[in-house]
Formats: sequence, C-alpha cells, structure tokens
Amino acid sequence: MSQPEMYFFWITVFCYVAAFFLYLYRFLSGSAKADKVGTWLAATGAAVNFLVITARTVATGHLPVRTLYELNIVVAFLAVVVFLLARRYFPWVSLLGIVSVSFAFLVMGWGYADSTAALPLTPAYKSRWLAVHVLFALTSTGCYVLGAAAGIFYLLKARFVPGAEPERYRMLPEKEILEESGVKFILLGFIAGTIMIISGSIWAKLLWGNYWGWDPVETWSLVSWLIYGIFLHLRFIYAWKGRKLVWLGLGCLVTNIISFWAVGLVTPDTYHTLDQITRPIE
Amino acid sequence: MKNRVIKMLVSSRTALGLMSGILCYIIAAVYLSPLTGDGQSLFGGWWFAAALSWLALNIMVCSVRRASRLYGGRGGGSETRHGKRPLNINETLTGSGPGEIEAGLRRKGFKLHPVGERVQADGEWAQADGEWAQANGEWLQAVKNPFSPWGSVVFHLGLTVILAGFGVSSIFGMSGDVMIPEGVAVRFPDDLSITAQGPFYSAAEPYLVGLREFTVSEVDGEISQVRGILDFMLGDYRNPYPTEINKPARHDGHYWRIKDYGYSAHLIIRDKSGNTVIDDYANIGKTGGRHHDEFPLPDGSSFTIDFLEPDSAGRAGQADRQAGTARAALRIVFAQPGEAGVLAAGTVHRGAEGDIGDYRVSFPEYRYWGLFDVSKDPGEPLVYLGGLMAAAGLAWRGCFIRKRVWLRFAAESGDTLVYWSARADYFSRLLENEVRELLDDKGGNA
Repeated sequence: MSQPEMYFFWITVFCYVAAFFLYLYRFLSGSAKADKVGTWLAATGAAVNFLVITARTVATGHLPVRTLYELNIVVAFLAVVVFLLARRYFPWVSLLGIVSVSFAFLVMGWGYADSTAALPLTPAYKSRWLAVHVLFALTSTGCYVLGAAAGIFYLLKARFVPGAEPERYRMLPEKEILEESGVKFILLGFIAGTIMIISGSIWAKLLWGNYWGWDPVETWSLVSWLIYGIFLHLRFIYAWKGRKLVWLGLGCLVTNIISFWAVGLVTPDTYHTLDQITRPIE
Repeated sequence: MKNRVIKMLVSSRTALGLMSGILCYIIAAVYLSPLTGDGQSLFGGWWFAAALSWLALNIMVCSVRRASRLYGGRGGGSETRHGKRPLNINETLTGSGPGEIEAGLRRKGFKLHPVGERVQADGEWAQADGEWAQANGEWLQAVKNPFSPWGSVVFHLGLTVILAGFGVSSIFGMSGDVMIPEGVAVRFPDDLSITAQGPFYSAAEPYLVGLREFTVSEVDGEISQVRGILDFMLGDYRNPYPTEINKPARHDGHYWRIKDYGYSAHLIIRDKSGNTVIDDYANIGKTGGRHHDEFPLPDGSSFTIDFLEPDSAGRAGQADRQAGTARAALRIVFAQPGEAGVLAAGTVHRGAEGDIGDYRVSFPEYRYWGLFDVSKDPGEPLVYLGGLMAAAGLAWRGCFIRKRVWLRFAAESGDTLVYWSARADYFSRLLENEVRELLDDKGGNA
C-alpha cells in the first residue's frame, strides 16, 4: 500500500464513519443539518474513495479487482455512489445511508484487515471482459444493499400503526413508497447482475472453453440471480407486497453476499480466484 | 381438458415453479457435490437438461403470447395483478393552469393525447376504459415510454435464444483436446481426444496443425502471459494464428484455446557400453502441480523426471532458453519395479551431461508442449445475440418504465381543479408522488 493510498484510505474511512453517525443522529433527532453534513461527508468520502482506487490502479498497473481488499474498496465506492445517486432523486433516501455507508466502511475495514498486499494479474485476468464483469457485479451488490436498506426501514416502520409511529419514523415516506423504492433498487441491481452473468459467461468461454462450469462462485451467482428473478416475478406478476416480500428481499441479499464473499472463503478450491493459468483439467 | 393441460404446462405460474425447483436443486447440489466428488455429474443428467428445456419452452411461449397481446393492443392492463385495479381518481387544487401542467408533463418526457384517441402501443387502455372516460368527460392521457413492455418480451426471448444457442452447440458442436509439443504438428481431427461430440457434428477436411512457437512470459517471477503460434497447414499452405490466454485462435469454425502447458525435455540416455537407450523428447506432464512424469525403459525398469524450472530473472520464453546463466535442470530417478525400488538418482542441467547409476544422461535442450482445447461452437452467434437481447431488453424494461397519467381540468375560483390518476407498470406510488409534485398541490387533495 503506497503512502498516498494509505492517507486516502483513512480519510475515506473517516468520512464514511462520520457520515454514518450523522445519519444515525438525523434518524434519532430529526436534525436536518446532520442530514446535510452527512451527505456532504458521504460525497467527500466517495470522492476520496475514488482516489484510493486510482492510487491502487497506478501502483499495481491494473484495475483493483485482484484481492479481497481491492474488490472491497471498489464495492464500497459503488455502494456509496449508488446511494448518493438515489438520494438525488429521493431525498428521504439519506436515511438509508445508515446501512449503505456503514456497509462501505465495514467492507473496507475487512479488506484492510485481510491483506493490502498487491498481487500481479495472472494471465487469466487479462481480458477485456474483466472490467465489465467485475464492475457490474459490484454495482449490482451496491444496488441490492440499498434495496435491503429500504426493506429494513420498511420493517421498522411497519411495526407501528400508520400515524401512531414515533416522530423519527415520520421522516420516512409511507411504507408503500419504501417498499417500491426498495424493489426499484433491486430491479436496477438485477439488470447489473444480468449483465455481470452474461459477460462472465462469454469470458469463461474464451478462458476455459465453456460458458458455464458450475464452479461454486458461478453456481452461487446463478442462485442469487434466480432468486432475485423469482422475487421480481412475485412482485410484478403476482403482486406480492408487504413484510413477506421484504423478508424475501433480505434473504436474496444473503445469497448475493455468499456468491460475492463467502464462497471464496468456504470453498478454496474454486477456480474463480483465477490464480491458475487455466481451469484444472478434469 | 387437453387445452387446460397445455395451458398449465406453459403458464407463467409453471415457469415460476420450474425456476424455484431448479433453484432448490442447484442449492442442494452445492452441498451434495463434495459427497459425490463430482459436481459436474449433478448437472449433467438428461432430466436437468429436460427441466431447462421445459423452462426455455415455457418462457418462449409466455413471451410470444405476451408479444401477440401487446401487438394486438391488449397487453398493457394485464401486465401486473395490481394493473387490473380500477383507476384511483385524485383531485388536486393547483395554482398552475392546464397549459403549465401539460408543459410540465411534456418536459418530463410524457406525450399527451385525448383519451378517446387511440395511442399507438397503448390503445388497450383507451379501448378498455373508453366508456369510463366518456362517462367522466374530457380526459387527457399522458404516456411515457409506451413501448417499455416490449423490453420484457425481448429480455425473455433473449434468454431462450441463449438456451437455444447452447442446444445448437451440443447438437452440431464438439470439444476435445490435443497435446502439441513445440515444433511438432498433429493431424486434425485424427489426433484429437474428443470429449464431447454432437450427433450432427461434421468434421472439416483433415489438416495439420503445428505449434510453431510457445512462450511463457514472466514479470517478477510470476507468469504474466502464455502465448503460442499455431500453424494451420493445408497442403503447402501455412496459416499462422497467434493465440494467448483469453484469446483463442479460430480456424475453420474451430477454437484452439491454450488449456495447459509443460516442458518437453530432449534426453539422451546411454548405458555403460555406450549404446543409446533413449534419444528423444520426453513430454513431462504435471503431477500435483509439479512438472513430474514417469517413463519406461526398454529393460522393463522406469525412471521419473522432475523438471526444475530455470530461475528466469526476468527473462522469458525463447530468450530465457538461449540464456546461459540460469539453467533448467532435470532430476532423474531410475527405479526398478517391485521391492528393488530406487536404483539411482541425480540431477542434470540443461546443456550438460552426467552419470546417474549405470546410465550416462545428457540434457541438451528443452521446449514446451501445449495442451489445446479444441471446440466447435456453432451456437455461439445465438448465445451472443441472446445475451445482447437479454441485457438490452431488461435495461429497456427496467430503466424506461411505462407511465400513464390521466387528467381532467376544471376551473375553481381562479385556480385549477385537476382530477387525475397515475399508473406505472411498476412503482405506481412513486409516479403518484411525482405527479403530486408537478401539480404544485395547494392542499385541495380529496
């Protein structure tokens, strides 16, 4: 980790942590100023996070997608960018920053604790599909996290009879709006996830000779995509609503988290790490 | 009865059931695969292919039915269950005049039409609710993204085109592999080890394929790229094709992809009396991640070779092999079958020779061998087309949602009383909020 990258990293973490506490304060006290300063800090954090990514790219000579640390600094950036873009259209979304921004600094911290050592790209990574595949995968995760955040606030608000909820819950929009916004973020994540799977299949064909190989990471990505597909069909075709839909959405996020982080941890023999030149010969 | 069974087999409910079933099986297979030790076989069964085919057929039929409804102007209202709800009429008192409101809607990308007028691709509402509109006076309809429902059709058809591509490849395609040492040519297709072949695969005219050159580039001791130049020879004519990881060579509809590589060592072994026992290239395979292999000797004994890779110190490929300082070496172990075990062991560097037990071993040079995955994939254009359709269709449907707003204006003591209703294919409540903001609500919402 270079010196500038380290400075940028800690400034980013500071901004995200401060933004998180300000959003939390906003939720608990209703302070509009906390919301404004929190958003300013989150935006500054995202800008400096971009500098972390740039410094890493310059230092390693490739997109930072090789190690857990690199993936996590990119996913943190995209999660906050998705959140800030959503906030532009729906100002109340700032409360979802409690989840999105905390997600960002937690994954950054996890990546930092794992290892910040730079690794060279193996030949398997040297593909024009790398950027498309990884960036859409991480964008979909950022959208799913925001969708889950809307779901969490829906569940919090749904505990009360409309009109009888404590003051802080009145800052949130109606439950239906929360639910629709959550589904909208999930739909956007699903679009990004679809592009991720298609680009990954094309890349796999060039690299391994097959579009699909049932590797644990591939399998869990498909599981996640299918379950989100079922979620959207239940919502749009069968008009599922309310708590059961929100809980299903949160369950979907678990499969996404497994496909993105946990498979690599529990299945070290996955060839999706791309450490090897080619797929092991069956 | 027959029609009901067919309808059931191709309904969207069945599609959802199939998706859920396939999902559950995949999750179960993830946990079963360590027990069976072969994850591939769990997904290779005919019934799994049949379930996928059924799903593809189901999706295709649902999409075609949906397309025909949309084309006939009957698909809009039944897009969602909540789409069938009666319109919820709101009343808003606003200071803006009808012209300003209409201009505001136009700025947001809406197109306005009188309700009685049939709107292209959206006529179903005007048709179905025409009576309602007539009964309620002069209404305007504002429509945004009227063709959005077609995105859903394109997306689902894209998925079936992808699956059709896989089907075409499995019927007309093939896959196999072949090992080619550097400087050697093999016959295609005779020398190929076929791993899968479709019933209608037809091999091309036989030709020779030679591996002209193979290089392994390294940066800081790590492999950075693997490249080869393949010569496709038809008669006296040579077509050289460069290939590297992620960039397979393509010749005559077949992909030639580097799958693995290893070393091929030129070995000369002489016995005590100076007779040459072996003078050939030994293609050293890989065992447990090492370049290790076993070879027989004419007397029934055998020897193993471990290829000790050179310390390249930044050099690569041919350049490294010509450099003299960091030399590759072979660790050779002669062994007798049975209890006698190891007879002798020793190491010989490239360009040197030495005595190992009863043999004099010389290692003049080495080269690479490449293992190539050869495949014909005639369904590839369909897979690419389907991928494009699926991505574009979904983005079209998800990012450009069809929105409709119905408006009627009435004068109310200097202000405008607007009767309105808003409906989006998805997220109607968000659209209603959007319309409320546009109408500059003066608190007259009833």
